[in-house]
Amino acid sequence: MAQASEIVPGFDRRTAEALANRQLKIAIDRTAGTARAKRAAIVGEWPDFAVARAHGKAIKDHVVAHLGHYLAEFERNAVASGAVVHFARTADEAATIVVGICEAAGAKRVTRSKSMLGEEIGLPHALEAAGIERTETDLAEHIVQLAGERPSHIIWPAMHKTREEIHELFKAGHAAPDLGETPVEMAASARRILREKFHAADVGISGANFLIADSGSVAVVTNEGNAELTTTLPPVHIVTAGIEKLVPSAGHALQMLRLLVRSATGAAMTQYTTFHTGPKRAGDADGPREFHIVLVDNGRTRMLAEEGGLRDMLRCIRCGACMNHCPVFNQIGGHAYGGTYPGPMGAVLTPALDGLSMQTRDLAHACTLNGRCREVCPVDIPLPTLLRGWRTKSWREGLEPVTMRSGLSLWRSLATHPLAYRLGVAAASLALRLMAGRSRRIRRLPLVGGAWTRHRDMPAPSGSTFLNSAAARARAPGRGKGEIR
Amino acid sequence: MSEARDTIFAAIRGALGSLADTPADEIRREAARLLETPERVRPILPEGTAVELFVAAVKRLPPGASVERVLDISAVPAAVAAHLQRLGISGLARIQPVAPLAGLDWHSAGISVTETVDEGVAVTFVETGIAETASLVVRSGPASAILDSILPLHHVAVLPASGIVRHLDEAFSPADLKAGRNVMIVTGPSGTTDIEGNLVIGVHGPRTLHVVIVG
Ligand code: SF4
Repeated sequence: MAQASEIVPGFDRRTAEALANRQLKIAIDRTAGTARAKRAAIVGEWPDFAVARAHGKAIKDHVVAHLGHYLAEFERNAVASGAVVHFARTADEAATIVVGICEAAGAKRVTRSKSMLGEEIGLPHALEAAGIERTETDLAEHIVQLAGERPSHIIWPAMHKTREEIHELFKAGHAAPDLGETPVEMAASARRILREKFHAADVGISGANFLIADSGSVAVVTNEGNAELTTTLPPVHIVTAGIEKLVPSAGHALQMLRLLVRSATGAAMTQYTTFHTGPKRAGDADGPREFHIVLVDNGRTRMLAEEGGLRDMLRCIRCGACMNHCPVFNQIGGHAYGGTYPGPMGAVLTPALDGLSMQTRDLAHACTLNGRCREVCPVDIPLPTLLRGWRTKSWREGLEPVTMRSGLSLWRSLATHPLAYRLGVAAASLALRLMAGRSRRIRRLPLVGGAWTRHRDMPAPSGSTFLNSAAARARAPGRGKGEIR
Repeated sequence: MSEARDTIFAAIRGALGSLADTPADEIRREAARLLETPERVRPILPEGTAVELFVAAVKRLPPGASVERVLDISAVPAAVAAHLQRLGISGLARIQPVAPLAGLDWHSAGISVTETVDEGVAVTFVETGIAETASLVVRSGPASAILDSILPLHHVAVLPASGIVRHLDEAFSPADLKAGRNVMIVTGPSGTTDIEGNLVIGVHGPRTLHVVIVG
């Protein structure tokens, strides 16, 4: 089941709620602030990071340009290694395949290691609907599961939670009323509870960071080791992966990994980077007897068709840097975006996956076009351009609200009539200055302007209009040196 | 599900247009070219031998990672015993049943061998190390369980000095991947930053990882 249906309560309302939530701002600042500092430090240590980044982009562009070739090669090698490869066109189809494999294995309990694709295809819901007990094993996903929520960040799904909130959740969820409040004690408690779940699982489900075409391997990275427990202990391992995760070889994957880890957490390497090639071999000490790989399209081939547009988004390696550095994300957090993927990359992806609608059009507007996201993106995705693309499309499809449309057409008719424009601007400028009073800040604009001042104030205009200043400057001697004031 | 497969391949072909007709040889050449100049896209390593760089890199890892060097494999049991003593835990350990470790005299060093690995101590043998990232390359097989590196609370890895490569991209080949179910690159003990970005060591996997370099 796609998450589209969950987008319904308006973006405006979610944003207002998020902005009013002080706990949320504290929680985001603590994690995102650390992430930004660590990334800056490690990227600063590598003088040729820009070269590596351009190279990473070239690798992904190469794969995307030859996606059919690599998909076929991966399938061939994976099947030869003993994996069972499945294809899913949509989110629902993918979730149905996974539930079907679980049911065929007679599974009652499954463990999952974090996978955003799993969220995208609605797997948590689908497993529950099938009556299968699901345990999220990544610590943050465990927190989110106990809270009955959804991830708010693709690397730190529980970024929106303060330690105090997590403490309350664990005391109740772990039946440990005396649990200490330090992160160390809380993590140890989760370790105890989840260790039992790992041993009891019938099926383990993971995502994939890379699909290695020339060997048919699936690479998964984690820092906690929960993926290895998820994929080694149960008799069945299922991988769900988007088809854009392909790379030609392990060498290409390791090059991408250097970029991914630095951009995501600011470390030089993930603690566990595991390549899975087929099921357990004859005589092996451990490993699953069945290995399934579910390859998911769910809108990706549609993006592929948009050359010079959304095709670029298929380079995304899901590092989360764009959201850590986004001023809007840092104010409102991930849940306000309403889809599986938050932040700048989510604002681009959600309408691509769920379709552009009255619900998803707002996301492209939650952007100041400051360009930070593109600067930190390890594969140089032109996120601001892609967001502008959605704005244009939304306009053309008539999804913009009436106030916006009529406001802009009023502006257009004024702009094409110079005298009316000058008079209008002078009058508006005077009115705004009167409204601002001595503080020179306007706290609340009337009429449709109220939407602008709901969450921010506005400086009063200066004494003169731009056109007046420009005309004065043109008349003044030595023009061109002074500032427009 | 072959209908889904056909639809996806057809959609890719339709989306890519004439690019979809690029000969496989040409694609392979282009992919190889992208790996041709690895030195341009590697982080710069300081001066030193691979072993020295590996030791320095372990010291940059978060707490819980440590390293020492012994000259001969026969010195490993005493080194492991001393390490466990420093941790303040008993000398009970699972020894991975691989040739280089199985023949050693654990008993005289005061180590009792156990089969239990869950939340205990495991000593494993690792053929390859990576100096760039202080990583160990663990391969699954009949004698080497992947879980020996994940289930224990304390992990000791024995690594021959000759097996240390400088760069991540030199650690294994496509043939290595096909040779077994898992190739796992382990870098330090397990950790998480999921609670307000605070680093906590030992969340699901080992809390300590000690590397004994031999030779
Ligand atoms: S768009 Fe770029 S920065 Fe954002 S998650 Fe994807 S790869 Fe990372």
